[in-house]
Amino acid sequence: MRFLASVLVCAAVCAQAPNWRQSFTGLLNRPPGTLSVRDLQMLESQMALAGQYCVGLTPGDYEANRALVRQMTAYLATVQVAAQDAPMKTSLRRLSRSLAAFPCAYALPPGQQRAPEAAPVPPPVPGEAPFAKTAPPLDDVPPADQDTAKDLRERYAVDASHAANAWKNAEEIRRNLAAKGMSLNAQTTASVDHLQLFLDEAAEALQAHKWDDARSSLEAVEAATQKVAKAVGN
Amino acid sequence: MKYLLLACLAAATLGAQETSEQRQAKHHFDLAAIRAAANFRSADSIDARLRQDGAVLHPRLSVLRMRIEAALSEAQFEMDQHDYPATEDALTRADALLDRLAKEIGGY
Repeated sequence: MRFLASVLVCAAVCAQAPNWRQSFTGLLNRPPGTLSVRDLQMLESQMALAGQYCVGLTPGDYEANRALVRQMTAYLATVQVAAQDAPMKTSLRRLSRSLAAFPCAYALPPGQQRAPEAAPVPPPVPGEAPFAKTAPPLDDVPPADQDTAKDLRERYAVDASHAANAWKNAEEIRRNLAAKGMSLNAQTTASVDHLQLFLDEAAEALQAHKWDDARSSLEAVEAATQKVAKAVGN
Repeated sequence: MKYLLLACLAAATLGAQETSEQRQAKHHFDLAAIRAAANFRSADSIDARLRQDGAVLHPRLSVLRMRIEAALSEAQFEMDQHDYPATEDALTRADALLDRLAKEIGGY
């Protein structure tokens, strides 16, 4: 019975470890142009998980794994040549670093212990909100509309400043959650993204002297700000 | 000369109508894209958590996500072609698919 239990535990451990090999061979069979950031991230997380199970491997196992890692390194080099966008390049760099120190391929010398995990880096302070805090300058406003334009520009500035506060709070919470592998709920995320959209639309409408459109866009900004503030605080 | 003036006027009116349609389509597209991005981020977060436990999202959700991306791409294409009714059709489809995804993952 004890033997059966130990066999089952061993089978469970061994079943998780080879996943990364399957992923490697799966990726190697795909044309380099079809790879996405998501694929690379998935591979990276699988490698991180697999590292825990790669203990007690024989030198032959290590050699076989190193051969696979070398193939993957060469393959990623071809992907890197084709990669155009920044997120893809960043993921490729991270994956290359992980490959170079992959514990399933490169065993530590006997007696040497793994370096302790680095202390978690505190999340960086959120930057500035990605929208203008002041209304755009307006040209050739007819005298009859001067007051309306002035009111709307002031309203824009007030709304943008409230929106910036809400955006900053949301961004800080988003970063803290991301550090724990979590995210803001979809409703709040969308409302945060709406702030920029509605403020940009308001600015465009003001520049086009479409006062009613500008007013309704600013109302939308106020509603979105309220939604965000309700979730993340003022 | 009179006809030329009329034609210019008609073209100007048509141009103005198109601008308004274009603006509406762009607004609708932006809203749908923002909603899609928010729900995709939620789905990614759920997926990452599930993967830690050795599980994955149901393939139906991945298919749904791809269909939303396809509908949005189609809307973008139609908008670039200035075919606004077709843009609206694609966006309506994207909205309906987003409703389904949001219902499945408890999103928005």
